[in-house]
Parts: sequence; C-alpha cells; structure tokens
Amino acid sequence: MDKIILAIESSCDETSIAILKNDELVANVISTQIAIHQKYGGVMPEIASRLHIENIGVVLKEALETAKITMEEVSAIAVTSGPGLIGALHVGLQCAKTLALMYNKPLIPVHHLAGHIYANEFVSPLKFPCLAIVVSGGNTELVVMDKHLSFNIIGGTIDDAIGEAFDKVARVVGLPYPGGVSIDRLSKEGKPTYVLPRPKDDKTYDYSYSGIKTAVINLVNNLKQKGQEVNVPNLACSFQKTAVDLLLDKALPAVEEFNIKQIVLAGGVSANSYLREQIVERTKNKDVEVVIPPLWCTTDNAAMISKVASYLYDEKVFADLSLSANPNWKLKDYKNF
Amino acid sequence: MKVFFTSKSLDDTKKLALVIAKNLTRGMVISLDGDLGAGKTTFTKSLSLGLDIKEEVSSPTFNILKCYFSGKLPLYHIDAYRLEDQINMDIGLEEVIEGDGVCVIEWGRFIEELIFEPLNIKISIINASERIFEISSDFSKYDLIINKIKEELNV
Amino acid sequence: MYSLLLDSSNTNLSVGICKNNQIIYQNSFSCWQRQSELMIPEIEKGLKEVSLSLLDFEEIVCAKGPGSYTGVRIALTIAKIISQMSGAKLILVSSLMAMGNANKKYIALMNARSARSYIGIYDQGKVILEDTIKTNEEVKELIKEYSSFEVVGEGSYLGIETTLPNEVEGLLSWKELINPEEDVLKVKPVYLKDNYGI
Repeated sequence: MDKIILAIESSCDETSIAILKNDELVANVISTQIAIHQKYGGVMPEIASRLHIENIGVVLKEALETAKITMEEVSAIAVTSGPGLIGALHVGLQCAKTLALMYNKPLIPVHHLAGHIYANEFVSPLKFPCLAIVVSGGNTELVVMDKHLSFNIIGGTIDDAIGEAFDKVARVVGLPYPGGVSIDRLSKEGKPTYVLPRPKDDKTYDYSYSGIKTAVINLVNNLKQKGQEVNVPNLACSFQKTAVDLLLDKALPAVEEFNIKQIVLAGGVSANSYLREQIVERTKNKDVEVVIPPLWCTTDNAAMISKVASYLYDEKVFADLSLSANPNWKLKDYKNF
Repeated sequence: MKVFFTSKSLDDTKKLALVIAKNLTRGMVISLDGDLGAGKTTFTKSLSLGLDIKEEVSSPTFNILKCYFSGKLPLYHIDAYRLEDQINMDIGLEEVIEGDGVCVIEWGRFIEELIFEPLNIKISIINASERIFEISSDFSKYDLIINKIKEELNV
Repeated sequence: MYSLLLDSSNTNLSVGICKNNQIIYQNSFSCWQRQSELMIPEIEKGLKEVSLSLLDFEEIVCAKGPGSYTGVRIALTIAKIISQMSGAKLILVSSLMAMGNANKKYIALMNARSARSYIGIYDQGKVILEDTIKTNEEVKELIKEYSSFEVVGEGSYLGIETTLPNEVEGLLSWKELINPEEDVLKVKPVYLKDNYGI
C-alpha cells in the first residue's frame, strides 16, 4: 500500500502544502508573502496570519489537484506545529486538525527545524553521524544526529540568530528585506576591508551574533559622526565574511570530535553563496560528505515537513487532536507535544 | 514617579530585574528603550527568571512577538524595532498589550500610541559594563514597584 | 439537514450541532488562549455524542469577527476547510450579531482595547447600527439612547451589567437571514481595524 503524507507548513511567511507518495514528491505548493512583508522591513506576524487564512484553501486545493489523489488515499496529515510565529502556526494547525478529524487520519506534529534538516534528503540520504548546521532568521544551532530522528544539540546562539544579524545589519545600512539576500548580493561587489570583532571566539560550539551586529552599528554610527561615507558593499562583504567564517571555524571541529560522516546545511541562511562556497572549500581535504540543499529547499516549504513526517509515520509518532502550536518548540524536545 | 539605578555589572541588572519581576501583576506593561546593545533583551531575560519562566527568552526582533506561558504570569515579549514607520498599522498587538499577563516592549517608543499605561524603563550605556536605568511612570499602579526599587536597592 | 455552528471570536469557544434547525448538541465555555488546542476536540466530542461525521453537514455556520484576531481565525479556518472539502454551504455571521438572538432587540459589545469597543445594534433581525468601533464614551451614549435594548456581551471593562452571550443560539437565529458564501476559498475574517491596504 502507498504511504501518502499530506504536509502543511505555515510557521512564517509561506503557506505551503505538500504531498509525498512513498519517496516521490507529487505536490509542493507554496504561496509566498515575501513581497508583502518587504515594505515592513521584515515579517509582520499579524499580516502573515491574515494571509495564511486567505491562502490556505487555495493551496490545499492546488496540492490535491496536482498530486491527483483523494483525501481517502492519504495515510497521515503532517503539520509544522512549531517553532515559528504563533498566529501563523495556528492556521496550518487548524487546517491539519480539521482534515485529520474529517477523514479519520493520524496527525503528525513536525518540528520546523527538523524539516530544514531533512530537506537535504531531497538531494541525498542522510548519513550518520551527521552534523546539521541549522542557520535561519530565527535559529542558529549545531545538531549532531547519530541516527534518524535523533537530534543532539551541541551548540547554538546565546542571543541573536545569524539570519537575524543579517537582517538587522542590512536594515542599518539601508538594504531591503530580506537582508540576507541583499547582503549576499552586495558582498560580491565589495571587499572585506572593515575589521569586525568575533564574539565568543572560543572552543565551544556556542555563538553570539548580537556582538557582531552591535559592532557594525557602532562602526556605521562612528563613521557617520565623522562625516565619513560607509562603503556599503565592503561593509556587507566584511560582515558576511566575519559571520560565516566564525560559523564554520566553530562548527568544523565537530567533524573530528563526533566522527561526522556527513555535513548538511539547513535553514534560510544556507542559501548564502559565501557559506555554500566555503563549506565545500574548507572540507575538501576532509573525509566527510557535504550536502548543500537546493535553493528551493532553503526557504520554508511543506515538502521538507512531509519528509520528516514520513519517518515519524514509520515510528507511529502521532498526536491527538488537542495538539497545540508551540512557537518556542526546541528541537531536542521534538517528541514532546 | 521616577528612580535612577546604576548597574555596574550583569549581576546588578539581574537584581533590578528581580525586584521588578516580583512586583509585577497582570496587565502591566513595560516600555523598554535604549540603543542597540544597551541590554534590553538581557534585562528581559533576567525579568523572565524573576517570573519563573522556564523557557529561554531570546530576541523577538524577527518574530515581533514571543509568548511565554510557563511562569507565574504569561510574558508577552515584543520588539517594536521593525515597527518604527508603521504608525497607523494595525498590528494585532493590543490583545496582548492590554492582556492577561505582563508585556515587555523593546523599542516601545516606536509604538507609543498603542501602549496602554506603561512603566517606562530607559537604559543608557555608560561604558562596556555600566548602564544607567531610568525607571518612571505616570501611573500610580507602578508606585509600589518604584518604591521597592528605592527600598531594596538603596537608591 | 444537519448544521454545524462554530464560534471562537472572543474568550468563549462554542460548538453547536443542529438537526433541521433544532439544536441537538451544544457546548460553550470560556477558554482564553486555548481555542487552537480545544476547538477540534470539542467538535469531535459533539460529533460522537450525536453519531455524526464532519462529512454529514449540509451547512456550516461560523462567526467571522470582529473579536480576537487569533480567535476568529481558528473557527473560520476550520469552517472554511470543512466547507471546501465537503461542499457544505458556508454561512458567516458577524461575531457581534451572534452574541444575541435575531428575534430580539439588543446591543452587542466587545472590548476593542485602547478605550474602544466593537459594537452592533440590532432590532429583531434588522441592523440598526452596523458592526463598528466606537470610543467607550460613545458606547455609553448609545446604551442610554437605546435604553430599551438589552446589552449583550462584555461589560465589566465599562463597568456595566450585561447579559452573557449565547453564541450557538445566536448563530442559529441569524443564519436564515444571511446568504451563504459564494466563494468559500476567498473567505476571510472581519477585523474592523483594517489599516493594512494589502
């Protein structure tokens, strides 16, 4: 019998529904709101929630039509129940619970970051021990997996996420949202001429991106006070280099410590071209495979949720219908819902 | 009422946050201002410990609103940094600002019109480890807090 | 003909099931911040009691706002999806209207924060004042002006006594007077405080 997972993702500014039939992705519909949030300099949760409820019906319809399956054939309904924006999560969650009740299907709660990690399976199967470098607007974590669905968080940010630092720095120098994309693009036109501090430059696997962000802001303010021009491409390049170099300098020693066979990138910041280039460059003489997710996997989508759900389904990790959104859900607690 | 508190270290900031947390009640709103790096989120983290919140409080700049329900009172942590130019925008935060818990709004001055009866806390940076906290309010419901700060921290 | 009635626009969560316009199941209780968790289990409970499935309904009647933004979206998302998948008619009733009975004369009130209220005034099925936001001072004036009308909904924030709403009865009484939605996919809540210009 076919294993058909219908997955729903609405944790941020993308409403997405995907259908995975055994190992084949037969639908992945995404309705993105990025353009709308642009004028607000970033995601506005209330707007996101409003757009989710407006879009969810259409996205569901399109997914079922594209996949050419009926709800009766579906094996289980999966949904991102966290982490993310609370109002946005609620919409996807209600849709999932309604479908589960209506068609008497098991309900599978999926952790959004687990989704980003498993997005890599659309490129290559995970190999263990696996090091996942999870980097997004809201998260920065280093995760070691010794088998499927086993997440050992060895380190992460103690303050700002790396993606948030990109967004804030972009804002300070007047670049449009999403900040990461703008900085990446502009960095190519600049050189790393500004010297920025490397906070928490120690042997731990923990990061402090708040410090770099503050340093950039102070630098810009000082230059402005002296009446000097900020060379924005150079600043973008310097910031990006500092942020990414620091990320990898601290993460790569894990390869030896945990005997890592495969490194995967996960989350929105894995779209960053310097990170993608550096991770390959810096591991070429190491005996470790590097998987870089295709760009379509780096943004939020339900396909990655369906992947995780497929494994959770095999282990019968199901929730009852009182499942609630957990905007602060930690990856290490993914079995608590 | 107004009071000034000089913090020479993270420990001092924690002490201040604890005194305030112990005396917070449902519906209270703290409008927190100070430049980037002044320590608004750090202060809020200490406040959350005072409210017995088990989860780790982190910056809500990306999410705008983060909610924590594991403590004595619900904590709604808002960052208005990205809301500076959106004066007339309906951001759906009123339910939370005038809500059933405690609301802390970083960069509160950017959404002043939406904030109902706040306790104002301004953090000024003196040097790398020193801060001056100016705690003030026009509303008598915060008099107890301000008096406690004076009493317990000798200012 | 079976109807499913849903409301989670404010602090209450209400589920009603009707057979040929007679209520055969209803439950309504206060559950602030927990509607997302509890609405579907409540519906499930109701279905079990009357031995029905979500596919048995010919119509879904749901409160569309104003009220708590999150709250309104919970019931409405559920209603939308049921209707879209089963083909049931979707009838949307204002959350203020749903607080009272269409046969009566009443003023419906909800706290809109910032010293304002959501208010609607109805006279036996006729709309006297269409759902709007007024300052609390204006509301008090209106209550004086329509002194023969019952005040239903929240009142403690204004310091006045009100009748508690009965959303299931309210939804049932108003649904005959409202046309079903033509395009279920396009359905969205009524927030009233609209300043987005999306």
